[in-house]
Amino acid sequence: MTSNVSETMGAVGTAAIAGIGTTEYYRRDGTNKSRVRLACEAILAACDDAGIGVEQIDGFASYSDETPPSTIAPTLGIPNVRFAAMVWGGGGGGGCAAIANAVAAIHAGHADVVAIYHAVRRTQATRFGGEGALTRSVNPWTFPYGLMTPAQQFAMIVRRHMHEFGTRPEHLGQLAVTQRTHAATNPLALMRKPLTLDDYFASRMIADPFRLFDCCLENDGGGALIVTSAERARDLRQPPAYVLATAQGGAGAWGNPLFDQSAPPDIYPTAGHRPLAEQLYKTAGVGPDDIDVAELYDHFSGMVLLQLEDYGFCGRGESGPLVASGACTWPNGRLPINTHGGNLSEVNLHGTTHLIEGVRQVRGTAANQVEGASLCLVTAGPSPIPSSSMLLSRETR
Amino acid sequence: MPDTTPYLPAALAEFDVDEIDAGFFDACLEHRLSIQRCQTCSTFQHPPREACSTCRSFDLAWQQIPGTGTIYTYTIAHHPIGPVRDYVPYTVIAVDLDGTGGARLVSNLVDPPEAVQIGAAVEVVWDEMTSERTLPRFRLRDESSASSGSHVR
Repeated sequence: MTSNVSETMGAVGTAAIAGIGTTEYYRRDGTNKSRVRLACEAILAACDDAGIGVEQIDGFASYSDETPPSTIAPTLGIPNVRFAAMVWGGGGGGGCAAIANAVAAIHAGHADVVAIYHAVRRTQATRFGGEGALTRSVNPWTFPYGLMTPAQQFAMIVRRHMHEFGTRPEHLGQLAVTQRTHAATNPLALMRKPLTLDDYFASRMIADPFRLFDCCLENDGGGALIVTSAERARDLRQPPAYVLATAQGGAGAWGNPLFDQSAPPDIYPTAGHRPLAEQLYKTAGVGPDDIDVAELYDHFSGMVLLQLEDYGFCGRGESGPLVASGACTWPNGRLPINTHGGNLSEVNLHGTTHLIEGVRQVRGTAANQVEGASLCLVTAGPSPIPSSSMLLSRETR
Repeated sequence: MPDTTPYLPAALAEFDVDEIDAGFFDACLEHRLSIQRCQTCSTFQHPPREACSTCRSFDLAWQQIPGTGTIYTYTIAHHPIGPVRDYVPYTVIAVDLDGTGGARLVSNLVDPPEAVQIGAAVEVVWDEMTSERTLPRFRLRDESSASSGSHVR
């Protein structure tokens, strides 16, 4: 195995993403396929993309998924499972952490080929705030007051950001419009009809300040990635997307307070990603100016703005004007973000497609390809701990 | 909405609490707002936890606080989902509680949604949801009334 250990933070660039795969994307209730079927289809597609036999898989990593390897492995006839890891926490925070676990397993020799998978089947899940959520074991600090959905929880953070920094509703709208613009030229995207700022302001309010188009889609589908050693990846079908650095975790006082709103004032109106940004940059020896393209987890428009600040692409409170300036719009912006359209407009697989789009960008095969992209930031969450993020690179460093 | 309509449905008050949380809701039944306070370093914290997150002491107790505070942030819920579908729009606020050095409580502002403002002074009103559960909600503070502790309806 390539030995390339950073003095500060462990494995750097020793592993790579060698394969990516998805199912067809379905609108909510648009398929009768089970979660297991969707996950298996995606894994097979990722193996095919990599040019690796599915029987070569000897490890599994996932996040926020309800199908365990004990179901996937026999279904796909995997002869020997040597590694299986699930990231704690719900939602999309663990996407890059699942990649990090795969990288760690490969670095430690626990596995050679790890499949990361996540599948979404809305009708098989309890909806946030829906009738199925009415149990006696709800969060007593939020639920009795009708604070029941992620849209409401994140709306409170973004509202405070607007109060402190002057972020405006049209800034949220510009973000939604930007991502729809990207989705419009992505043949895979579910929402390709162009969106104007007028359309945005005509859409109904969900949880002030979030309107309909500030919120991620609800849909079905599955995605998967194959991680292996950098050395082995170089012999496979696709150019490797080297995993240059990963970070998972977050400030202790930010994560769970997502629900109860108790984070201290200095970190409350952030995405909780500042510690992750610091670790990524330190591990990789790069800074925000070195990044060519960023796939930033977008459950809600405003939380993308806050991530732009946490990762240092602008100062605190400057993210709204940054997006409104076109700086984040492909192809001419200096930092195109969510080039696939994201959870808001492409498909919402809890960020699995952000990992996949990051790979496409450094391979040079994205529908909205950033010219010469060699370094891509991918984030997952903001969510209760662990949130996570990673840097993908076209080159080993 | 007529005055006889509760702010949110009683179904939202049908929940269990564990030992660590019970002191808060017991005090609510007596119309007292009580927050967990460390007996070692005197720090207030909310929500209550098993240990003081400032000094790691396990010696924690409940202390009554004034029931006034300031709106730190808010959202107005419009989406008519599940149990609240007939109650939108309603206002969820996070209140920085006076006398606690920064403890923050999620609740509702019972005034009309258009009246909500970050930084506004509020005071507790008690909402007797069920025989088991009384919840603190808040109303904008009238500078002329110094007292707190009225009923929500």
